[in-house]
Amino acid sequence: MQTSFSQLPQREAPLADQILCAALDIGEHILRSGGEIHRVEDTIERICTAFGACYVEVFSIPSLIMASVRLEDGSLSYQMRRIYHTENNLYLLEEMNKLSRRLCDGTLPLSELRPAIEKAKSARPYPLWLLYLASALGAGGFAVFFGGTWRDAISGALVGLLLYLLQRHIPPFVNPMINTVIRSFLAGIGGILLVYIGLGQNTDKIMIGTIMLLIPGLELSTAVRDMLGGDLLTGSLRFLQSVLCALMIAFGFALAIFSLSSLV
Amino acid sequence: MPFFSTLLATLIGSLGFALLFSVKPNKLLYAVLGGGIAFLVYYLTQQAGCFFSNMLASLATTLWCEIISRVKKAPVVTFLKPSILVLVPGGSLYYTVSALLNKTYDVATARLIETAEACLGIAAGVLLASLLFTVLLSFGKKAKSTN
Repeated sequence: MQTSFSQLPQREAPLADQILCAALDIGEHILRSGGEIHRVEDTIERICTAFGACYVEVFSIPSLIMASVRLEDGSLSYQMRRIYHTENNLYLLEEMNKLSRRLCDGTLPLSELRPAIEKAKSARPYPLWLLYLASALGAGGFAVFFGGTWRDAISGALVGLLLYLLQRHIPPFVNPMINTVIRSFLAGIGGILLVYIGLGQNTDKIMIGTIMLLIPGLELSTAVRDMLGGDLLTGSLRFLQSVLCALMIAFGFALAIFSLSSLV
Repeated sequence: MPFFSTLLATLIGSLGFALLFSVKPNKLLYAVLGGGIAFLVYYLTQQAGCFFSNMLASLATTLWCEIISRVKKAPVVTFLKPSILVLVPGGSLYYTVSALLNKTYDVATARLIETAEACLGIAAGVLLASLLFTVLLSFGKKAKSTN
């Protein structure tokens, strides 16, 4: 899992290890906050080179980064990082990018990297209520975008609020696929009930709006882009993951429709 | 579709997603504008078919994002993710699944192909724009160094 210099025994870690560990810290966070694979590889390579490495190899897929580095004095280091969870946190991505740039031009010493990362991680650019509102706006906006009425927009927004509530409160040990099924099932139930009580008008538009919050559609086109750009392994992994996730969403909605079939 | 209400819905929707993706406050406007550009180009080129309209829209959006990311000194994805989301074929994916549930397999196939076309179109547009931008930049650098 996470290792950092501060947790190592008193013995000073060799320089090659320190450099690679710092580069991987940045790379790991870029990947976890939704950065592209080639950005991760580029960043790690650039940081290591800036600290005097004469040989750097990096290979990354969405769940793993492997890198090895050799310094001019011949010392070697080889490390891996396993990534378990990725999300879209473009704020953190941007901060990591800045830190990497500062490391490379020498304005940030290696020893101050870890506190800087922790600081960036704990920063919250938006308050919680705004995130709930954002989820509602996203679902409502896209319900209208796909042809819904303003009443569909309000229903979509309500389901969007529910989805964000679930996203925050489903415990992390729940398998991500099951998590998607639960969320899409409850979103489906919400959409159908809102149409049943007469607030919403088109169940399909409400569901499409809320699907945008769940769907890996962005990942699907990123996967195609990765593959066309030559990252075959990353592309096919992402493709498989997003197809599976789409199936889980479909399964959740199907469950909702079946269980409330008398109301549809 | 009624143009202005849809445009407004697009802008609101991409604002929502930009917030959810925690784009920095001073970059929100540009990300939302990217979503607007995606919708405008998509709307204007709809007659060209699913693949081409998606490709042109994502081409235009990516060019905008590449330019604004140079100006604002932030990673391209900061702007690209919330704005390209507008093009994601959520609708056709949903109708694919609902046709499968209703066992109307011919509709499902047609919708599935539409979804695939849209995804390919988006990816092709992004790639093309990045390529174009890199080529232009390298020409620009060459011109500067010879001067």
